[in-house]
Amino acid sequence: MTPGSEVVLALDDVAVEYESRGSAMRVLPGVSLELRRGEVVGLVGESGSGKSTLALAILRLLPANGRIVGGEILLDGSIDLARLGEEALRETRGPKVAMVFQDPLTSLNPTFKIGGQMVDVQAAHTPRRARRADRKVFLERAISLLGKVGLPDPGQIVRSYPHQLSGGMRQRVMIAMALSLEPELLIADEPTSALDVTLEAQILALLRSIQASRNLTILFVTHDLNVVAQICDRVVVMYAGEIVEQGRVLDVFEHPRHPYTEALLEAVPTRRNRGRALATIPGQVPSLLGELRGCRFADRCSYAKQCCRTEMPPVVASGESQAVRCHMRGPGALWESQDAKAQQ
Amino acid sequence: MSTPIPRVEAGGSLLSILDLRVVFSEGGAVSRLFSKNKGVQAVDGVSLDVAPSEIVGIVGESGSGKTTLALAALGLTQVTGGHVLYDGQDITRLGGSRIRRVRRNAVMIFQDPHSSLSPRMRVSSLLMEPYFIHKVPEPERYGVAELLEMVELPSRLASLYPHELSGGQARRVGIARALTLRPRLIVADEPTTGLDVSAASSILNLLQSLRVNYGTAYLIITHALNVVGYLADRIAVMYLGRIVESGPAEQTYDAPLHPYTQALIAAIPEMDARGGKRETFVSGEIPSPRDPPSGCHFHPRCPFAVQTCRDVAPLLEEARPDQWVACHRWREVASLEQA
Repeated sequence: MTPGSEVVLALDDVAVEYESRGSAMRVLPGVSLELRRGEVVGLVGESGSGKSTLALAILRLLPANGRIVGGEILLDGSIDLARLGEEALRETRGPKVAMVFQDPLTSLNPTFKIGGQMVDVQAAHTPRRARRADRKVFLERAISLLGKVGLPDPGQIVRSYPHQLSGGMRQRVMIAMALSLEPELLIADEPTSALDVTLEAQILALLRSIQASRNLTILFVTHDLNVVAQICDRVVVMYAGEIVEQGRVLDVFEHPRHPYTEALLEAVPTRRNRGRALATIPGQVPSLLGELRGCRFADRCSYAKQCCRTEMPPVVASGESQAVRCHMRGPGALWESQDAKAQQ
Repeated sequence: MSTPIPRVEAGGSLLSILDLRVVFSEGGAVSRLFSKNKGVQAVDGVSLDVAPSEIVGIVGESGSGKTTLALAALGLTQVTGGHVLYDGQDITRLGGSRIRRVRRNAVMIFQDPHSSLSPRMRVSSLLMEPYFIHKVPEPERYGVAELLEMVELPSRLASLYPHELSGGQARRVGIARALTLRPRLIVADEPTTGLDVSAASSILNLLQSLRVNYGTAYLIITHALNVVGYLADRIAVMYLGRIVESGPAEQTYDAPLHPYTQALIAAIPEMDARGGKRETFVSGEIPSPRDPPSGCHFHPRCPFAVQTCRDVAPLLEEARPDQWVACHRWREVASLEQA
């Protein structure tokens, strides 16, 4: 389970804009991130943090008013997804990078049986001449994959329509479908957010075992820090379109370096903070219309100094695995985290 | 049929639910007459108490009947059997103006604030509407600004329409609306579901402080165990219309007795539990309440099930002081847990 050093996906200064009422809103000002083979990376943030935009941008699935305005999205060190033509893009989506969405019901076609949809996915990535003869092979593969994702009686499932399955079963079907083209990178956007807790645990365990057996790289987009702790090796925290902190899950959760990460972690209700008031983050995520100067979290940050409002903070390496974008963590750190204070 | 023993407490309860049953019938009168379809047993013999200023959490997955129970607790759905006593008065038998008087003191916060706030009314009118419905004289009313302040919203929101509010703000307006009549009991259905981490934590803080300041009691319905573990005094776990375990929150959370409660707690992803966590969660999904399994409803998913579990529905029994469990085999399960 130790991730190798080979970089599967490298985002370099990726910028995304949404066009709205004639003005451009820069939702991602320039994000850089690396995913290594066999790694499960959690991309966390609240609504409006840009985490879903980033996930969609990787597969060039942005809505019609969104576009990538800068940067590179390098797959396997050679293919720049940001500049790929339509045809080449189609060949990449599925066989190289696959995606699982939050709501399987909107991703599945309600008028076709599961088997047909799974066959079509495989057929679409097969040369035209071979398609007809292979449909039986594709269906058998579909059945075997449905069995592998833990669905009972897969022979029956392929003959069912999506509405005949429960939410947990549909999400398993989506995962089987995503795996059918043997991608090296799986992007999962809130795949368990709509599921009950026992089903969530089952799906997380399933993703973990698939990841381990195929050495799959997974980018797991979620707002749930508990889920990140459960499944991810590394966590990337986003705020208002920027990565504010990243590092190994254990390191970040034990010793958060960014004030926003720290506040997020303290806002999660658990039995341990029973009876105590939970930490809240005052204020709102800043509007991304117009020019933003300085640190985007400054207005809500209890540690903010003058420089935070005027100068963009640098990214500083911290500890063994962490990197943080904060003035207060630079040389001669001005800020001490809560747990550092508690230790004294 | 399981008839759990009601927890009898001498006059201490604000809300007492006794052997409550709610059955939803399906289809028209004729098809009901000729089919064997007995309808959906959404709530099947549930008893529960909420004391003044107590927080009781009802936990269950989709299809467990928890939302139906919440609606029945406020007389918002037709009850098939049993009693709901509010301050000793059976509200299942009340109608018209008398139920309205009860609803002045016992209110609901709905799960989806946007669908429970009229899109055509400004926040100020939404907040004052309960006073007109209940004909509350002016001096007994809170002002709009006062209500907004209670839920920590800026007073400038008073002139906005619901669609102009964020999810967290709309949720707060829903809570402010519930507070207008100074209720003694608030029933909250999934109060934090769908909110961002920091918005959810401020709602939980708010509920907590309202209890401290006004002695409000809560019945909180949720599928998020960490929320009840954090907030509730007592929890009750529901599975397919029945309570399978109930007890003091911390005790039940730390030492659950029912295999389903154990599975639920094992399934919660927790931040500090990585690696060392047991992966003994249940397989399968909650069956349809249309055709529940025989005996103990949980037996098809239960690793401890024996023949008795398939044949006989277990009754709630007091396994530990104040901790009640409906399981034939809780003693064996508990000893296995220790081993």
